Amino acid sequence: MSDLKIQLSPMARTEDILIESLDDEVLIYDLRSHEATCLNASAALIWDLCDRQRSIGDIVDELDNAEVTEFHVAAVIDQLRGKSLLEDDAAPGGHEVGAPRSRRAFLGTAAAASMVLPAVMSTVVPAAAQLQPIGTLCGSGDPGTSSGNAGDPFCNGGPGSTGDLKCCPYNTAPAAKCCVLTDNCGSALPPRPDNCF
Amino acid sequence: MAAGPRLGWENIESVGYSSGRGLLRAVLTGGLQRALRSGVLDTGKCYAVLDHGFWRRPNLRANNWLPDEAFAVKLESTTPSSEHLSLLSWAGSFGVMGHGVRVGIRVNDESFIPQLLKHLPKTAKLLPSDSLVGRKFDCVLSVIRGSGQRGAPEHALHLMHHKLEHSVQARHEEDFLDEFSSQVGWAFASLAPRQVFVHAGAVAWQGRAIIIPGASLSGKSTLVAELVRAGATYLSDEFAVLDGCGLVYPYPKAIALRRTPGSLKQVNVPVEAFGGRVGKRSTPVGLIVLTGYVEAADWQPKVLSPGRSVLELLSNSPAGQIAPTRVLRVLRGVAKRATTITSPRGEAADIAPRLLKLAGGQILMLE
Repeated sequence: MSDLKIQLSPMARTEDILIESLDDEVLIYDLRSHEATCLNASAALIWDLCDRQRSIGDIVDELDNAEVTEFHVAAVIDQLRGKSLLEDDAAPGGHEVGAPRSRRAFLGTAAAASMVLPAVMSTVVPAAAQLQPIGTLCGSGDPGTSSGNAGDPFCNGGPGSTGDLKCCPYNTAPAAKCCVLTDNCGSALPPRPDNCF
Repeated sequence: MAAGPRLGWENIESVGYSSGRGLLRAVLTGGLQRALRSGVLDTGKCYAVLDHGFWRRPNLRANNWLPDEAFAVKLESTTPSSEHLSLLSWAGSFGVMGHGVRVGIRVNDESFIPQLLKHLPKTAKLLPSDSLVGRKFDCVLSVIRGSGQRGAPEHALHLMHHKLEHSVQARHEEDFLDEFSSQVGWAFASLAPRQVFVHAGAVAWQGRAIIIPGASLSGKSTLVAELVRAGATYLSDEFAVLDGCGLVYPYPKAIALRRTPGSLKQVNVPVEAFGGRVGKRSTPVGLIVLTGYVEAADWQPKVLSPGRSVLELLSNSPAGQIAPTRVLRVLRGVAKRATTITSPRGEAADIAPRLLKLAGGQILMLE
């Protein structure tokens, strides 16, 4: 038996999360990070079975899906850990498997879990201000940062420039609206200025 | 234009910087520094600050429309800059209600109020002043009208929302009034206690609604316009207003089209200009379309699962972080009842008829 199979699963997180079931999927909203995650049936069952008592091999057996191996389960556990949906790692050297805790109410996904490979998708839910339409001028910021033109934070047009400064949205992390020299904010958007944040 | 009312700026030197830092610093530069020295604000440019604030008793002029107490909000909903705004004098005020949200608007120039009233969202209703006795607003908009002089360094409007910051300012009054209307709408969208707003276009076709979530500049309004031109009933190009029964309600406004692709400047075009009509009733959501304009894109829609549909709707929900329990529940209900498809699209005029056929059930989805 591979080491992976006997590795104990971590514990699924229960605090500060909202859970909504959707037939064969489970939606989890993390109230700490405002990240929403969608687990398909297999992934939802894996998460549900993470109780620090079952091994990865136990989880594979319970999934009852010939396509899903311990590598798939371990990969899902890694993804869930990356999204902070699991608590502490499994106890080291965990060969002992006690009585598994009773499953939560995801029994409706068991049949579907036997038919699909696990999948985890997520999105960060933005604050309202991040969604608002672009105004006619750039956002707040200290002069000389948003525009690269000291004393002119609102894209009034840099002195000596041949074109207008436009306030263009950069959908990068962090999102920002930067004054840049361009005819429009479409596909020909110039690289985001280094001093725009 | 005549100089505006004298504002109580005498305490402005004591203004501190915090979440309102960007706003207050900008407000204090340029022409408003002159106003501080002279004691008279240059009027004509438009300023507005959207904030939750305490309403300290100011030196009100006559014809204040609402009792002072109406502008007092809960302590936990204030931002540090709120107190400083409340040191200013306000010449007039009014309140509106929309989607269960009470928004208070106070202005430094009473003569500006009729224009503000004309630019309220269509779903906003003016509140009689006596209805607010003993009650409070959910949020407060503070409108400062500036000088409107070209070339002057001062600008208009910074908006700060409850616990959020969004800065908007406008040199031209029409631009400001468009933004004012939009910000009232976003207050509704963020704070509505029962409905869930999704930043999306929406039309109705054969008894079912098509909603098109997406960020600004994704081409929603263009696609909505083409769908209306193709015969769909217009519901909105800004918000799909959803309830827990999977229904979408009209949020009508003129369709805001970009003057050129990617441009920030918009032109408001009445729906009637496309030969369309505005829906008046709620409609069950039948199709959710996740798309965006990509030049020469091949339209090959794939069906998404309800769970993934909820993720996409959530990422376009202004109240997603504010009321996640309710938002999640409503979006789950909508996603379960509708079909969600996704694909980049080319020209909206080519896609619109195909979408209407899909919504009408005339094409069987393959995936």
